Amino acid sequence: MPQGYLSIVLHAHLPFVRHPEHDQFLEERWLFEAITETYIPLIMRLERLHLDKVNCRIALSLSPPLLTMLSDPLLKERYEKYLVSSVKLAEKEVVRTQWTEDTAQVAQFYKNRLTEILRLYQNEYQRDLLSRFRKLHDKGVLELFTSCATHGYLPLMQSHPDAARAQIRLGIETFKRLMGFDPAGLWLPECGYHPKHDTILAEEGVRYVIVDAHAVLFGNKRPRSGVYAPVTTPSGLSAFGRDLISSRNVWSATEGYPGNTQYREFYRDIGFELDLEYLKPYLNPDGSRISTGLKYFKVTGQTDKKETYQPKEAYEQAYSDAEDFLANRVKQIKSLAPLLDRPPLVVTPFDAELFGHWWFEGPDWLDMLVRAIHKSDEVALMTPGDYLDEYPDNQPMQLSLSSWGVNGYHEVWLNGSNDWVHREVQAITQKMIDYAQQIKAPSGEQKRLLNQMARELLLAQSSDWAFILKTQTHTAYAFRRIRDHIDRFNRLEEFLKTKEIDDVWVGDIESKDNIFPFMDYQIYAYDSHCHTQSISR
Amino acid sequence: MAKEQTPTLTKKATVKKVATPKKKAVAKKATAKKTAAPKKTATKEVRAKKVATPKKSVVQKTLPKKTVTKKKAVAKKIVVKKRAATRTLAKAFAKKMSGMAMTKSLVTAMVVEPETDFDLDAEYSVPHLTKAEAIRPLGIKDQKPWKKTQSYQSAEVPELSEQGIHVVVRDPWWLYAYWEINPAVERSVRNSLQPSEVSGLRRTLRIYQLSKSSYWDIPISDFAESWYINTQSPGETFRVEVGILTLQGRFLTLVASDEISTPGVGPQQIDEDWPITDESYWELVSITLGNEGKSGPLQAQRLFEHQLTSGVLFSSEGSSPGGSLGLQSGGSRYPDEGSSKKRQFFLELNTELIVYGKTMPDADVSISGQKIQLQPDGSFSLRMHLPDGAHSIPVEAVSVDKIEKRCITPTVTRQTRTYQSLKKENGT
Repeated sequence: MPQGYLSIVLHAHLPFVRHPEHDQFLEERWLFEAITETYIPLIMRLERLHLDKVNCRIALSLSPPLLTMLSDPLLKERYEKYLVSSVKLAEKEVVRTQWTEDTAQVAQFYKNRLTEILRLYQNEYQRDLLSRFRKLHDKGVLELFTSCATHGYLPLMQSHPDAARAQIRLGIETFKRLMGFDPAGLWLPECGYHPKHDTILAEEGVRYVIVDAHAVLFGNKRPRSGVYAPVTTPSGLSAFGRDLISSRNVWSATEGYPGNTQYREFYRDIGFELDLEYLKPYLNPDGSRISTGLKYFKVTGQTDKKETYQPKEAYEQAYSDAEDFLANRVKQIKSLAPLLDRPPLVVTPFDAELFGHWWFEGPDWLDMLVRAIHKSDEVALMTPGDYLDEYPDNQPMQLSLSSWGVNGYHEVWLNGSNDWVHREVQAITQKMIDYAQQIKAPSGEQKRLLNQMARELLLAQSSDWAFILKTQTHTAYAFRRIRDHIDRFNRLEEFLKTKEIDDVWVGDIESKDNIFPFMDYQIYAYDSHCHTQSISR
Repeated sequence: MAKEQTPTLTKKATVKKVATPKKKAVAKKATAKKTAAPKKTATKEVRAKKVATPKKSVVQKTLPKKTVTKKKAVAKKIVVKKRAATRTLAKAFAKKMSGMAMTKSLVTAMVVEPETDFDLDAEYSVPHLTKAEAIRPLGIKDQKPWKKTQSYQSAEVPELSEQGIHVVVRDPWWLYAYWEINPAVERSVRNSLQPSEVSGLRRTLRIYQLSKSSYWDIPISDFAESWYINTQSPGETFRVEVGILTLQGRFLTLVASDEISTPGVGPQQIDEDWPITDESYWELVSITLGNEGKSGPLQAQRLFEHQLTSGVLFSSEGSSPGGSLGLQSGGSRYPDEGSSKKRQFFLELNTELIVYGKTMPDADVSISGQKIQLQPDGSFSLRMHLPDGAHSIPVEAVSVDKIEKRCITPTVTRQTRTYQSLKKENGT
């Protein structure tokens, strides 16, 4: 019997980026890089763990935009092209580097790796990553769940409950349609929790959410178990508080594992270093330099003179970091156990893309951590769902407003660099709700326009845009996206009002922003609908 | 007496302003939500008109920032004139207001006819109001809603006024307010000024801290449309108004928000059903924060409070890329646009060698023992990083019938010398 449990929760998400109007589109590479570096490496390792009969229980949230993109035929095709081209570049690199032995080894490492990923994607996975995730779920390796429709940051929708409801319901609906079963819980985008949404979450059938530590520590009652057991909100939702110290072991820029000198340096990519002519076929069509994924250096230290990456040494480092992480958790659980009336549960949530994309060795670390826990008598893995099956009675309390963003609340998504987004999105949200409440029996045409307006609203709500504006990377694209969706919404509204519809334009927008094919805009009239019902009763 | 009017009011709970649909209606006991701000409620049949005139008031400014006031504002003259308002209008406004939930409320232009004779002696005490807030606007007659309101049939939706103020809690210490002011409202409010008040007007944000029955003002620009308000008060309830402050200290409200509460940051209520000793609890918290082993519970609690107030508790460390800008730029999700770093002057130099040639398209070609692919025309090209030293490149081609074989082996040598100088500036 273990003394405590560790719950590893991964959240995989990318904003909906799909541009059929261009042959190649830079930001689509976010998805491609994440598939190559995170999703496939994770699937490979988890399948291997299962084959090796290692006990593995990990909770993985797949966001609705990501689910949609991973099942999109156009993006699948484009990913394959991208991967084929990456393999070609890696092959050329093996030749190019042959007179520098250590670099040649890394080049060979990438070539083998990418060739294998291409083989898996084309042959074994048949381009279908979702069915691989589904199988891992069926085998009991993963507990799958999902997030809000477009990763909208819920606390800032506090004045529009229907907007929050649409995000929650459409997210769950997307998951059900693409995965074929109910999600185990709901990942609150950025762990953003507002007490007002408690009822909505429960009404939409959400079993659990993950919140940041202060949601629990600043709740209305003193939590009996701190963040080491879930609590039950007034509506019956279970909430798991994040353990800060174990997150810090991994995340921290200064003390976190990914900063180890042996690990691969993220910022040195041949795309920014080699001769432009040579790289041209692998860069953006406009010739601007971008990451190729081929990175030959290790972190080395605080210096510009980086040493060549040594995959084997990095792998060994990942092993020792996995051991270190486990040792720290054992220590932590031993100090917690006497304070609680049941075995403590340490919940460590991460963005999945940390593993592999940012921290290249992350998937190896995870794999070795799971194996080490398998051998441990003191700690066992447990998903939030498993825990609730075993301990259904938890302390009731209301949680505090909170998020896991810098400074704990909404500052990342509401500050001088992006508050205009909030303002504009609120305005179209209000319009959407007004229309939904007033147009109860739409004509076919009205319905079509209103559904597309709802999609545009949702896409504009994605927390990613405000985040990007704040961090000052890719701001032009984020700005463009917000503007596009708001403009499209307004134009559709114009059609709705004037009844003069540009059919071709609407069709074009529908084919681009084709997320949520099952959309019914009436979701935005949900609360008013209930309100009327309760009055008539 | 307020009760008497309720039946004639619209049923929507969100319509907060008490309207006086018939003469002799008296508004008494304004709730905390009521203000003397000019709000209009369109009832089913009637539009109410009202003048609130302060009898007397005393403003006690105890602090420069927060002023404690608690007094009665007496609305003396309430003038009512029956006027038809369409059902649509009432419905549209009510709808709009209900949609705005708690952080937005509407204030629409008030229509006033001070000359009329009904004197209602409407006396009602309004908490936190001062004379400044009781307004006596002068008449705008027959004013229409500032945007055309349409009745809607299927797709038609009334264009609703955007006038209003939203207040969002950003964190326990800060509010974010943004607003839009109907020019007609502003005009009518300005029209209500006494001649002596016209100069030195100041657009002002007034923040009421409801539990303390106090408020403070922030002078703002006429062009400001939003403001971050540092309340420094977790677990408190506020209302925010934008208005005009006269030199005499009279505050004329343009828009008023609903109440909004900041979240608390502890201490929490002890849960008797789920008891834990102080000592154990603070030890738990210490472990969460990685402070364990640092002496007793009191220290743990102090450290926690310190970390809370200094922001350490929520620092990016240990947080996600969603928030963790600590992970350099970019975070984990979005590949970095450029990896170029800010550096001093530099020069980097590398050399590469291109080896290219041509043979029969069906020949087998290998370079340094490695077979290579030919272009359809039989040409080939290779590019290699060329480090210092001597390098031989044996190129071998074999004809498709394996009868002929050609070998060419160039040897290339790279030698590099580097030189650096740094001109010193005068006096250094």
